Amino acid sequence: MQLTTEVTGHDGYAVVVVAGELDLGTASDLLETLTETVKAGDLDVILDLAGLEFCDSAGLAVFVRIRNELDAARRRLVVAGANETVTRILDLSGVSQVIPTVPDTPAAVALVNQGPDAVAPANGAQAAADPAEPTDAADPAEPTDAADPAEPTDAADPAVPTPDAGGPATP
Amino acid sequence: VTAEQPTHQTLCSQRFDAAAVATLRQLMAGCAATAGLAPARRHDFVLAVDELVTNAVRHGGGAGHLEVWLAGGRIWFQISDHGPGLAQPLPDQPPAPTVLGGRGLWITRQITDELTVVTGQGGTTVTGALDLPL
Repeated sequence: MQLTTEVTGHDGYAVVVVAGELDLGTASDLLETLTETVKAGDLDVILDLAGLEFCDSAGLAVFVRIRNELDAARRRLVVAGANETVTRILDLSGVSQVIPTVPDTPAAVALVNQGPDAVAPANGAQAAADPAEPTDAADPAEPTDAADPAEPTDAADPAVPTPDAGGPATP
Repeated sequence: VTAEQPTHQTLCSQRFDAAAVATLRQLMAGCAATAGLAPARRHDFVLAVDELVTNAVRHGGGAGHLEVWLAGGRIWFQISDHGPGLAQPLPDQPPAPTVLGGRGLWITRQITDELTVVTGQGGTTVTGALDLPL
């Protein structure tokens, strides 16, 4: 089985539905799709992984790369709906410490609508099996955020100005 | 009941390259089921071999040899390549969550009951095992 991706744009965020198997052979396809998505606009990105059956460290590398790009632009990557085995590798690797994981896409939408500093609910991750592992996305190494306007939960105004709407963040 | 069981049952012995990675996972799922691993550990076994095969493809010259066998109440695997060797065989700490790579061996060690890496200029051989249920 190969990998399929489907991107839908929304107001302030994009949902990327990823299904199949994510490994050395398919990671570059996902990286390409996500890079285009990030370039296309100032958006948070929700990865809907409900249909992802396998993910190894090649897949994690893509998640982290995109997470870092978004983070530099004060945007977020949120993982939604990962199955038990995908959640396990996210936790084992520590990647879930910097990429919030929530049970499904609606929960991810709720999270990104709360703004860049919202934290996933403690019981939000399916990976809640290990209570010692915080699921919160707040990275102590992250720069403090001073001037970020809270995003409206209502999508009424698509033209909310953001101070850092500038282009791609990666050098 | 006393001494080490001399039985050694080979489940798989084959060469691989990048094109075989996905197919090997299916094969490994079959080996894990044959061995009698519980479903969650079957996935760990598949993931462990996948990570090591991927390492061999990426850093070990593009191809390698995989051996899987049963012995001593464990399912064993050995992945060998003739690449230039690994600079950092077994990290003590997990890579930071924000670095891009270097997670494969770390993850593999977390999900196996034994893992040994022998690496040098002549290549890398990784041998590991998962305990079978009693």
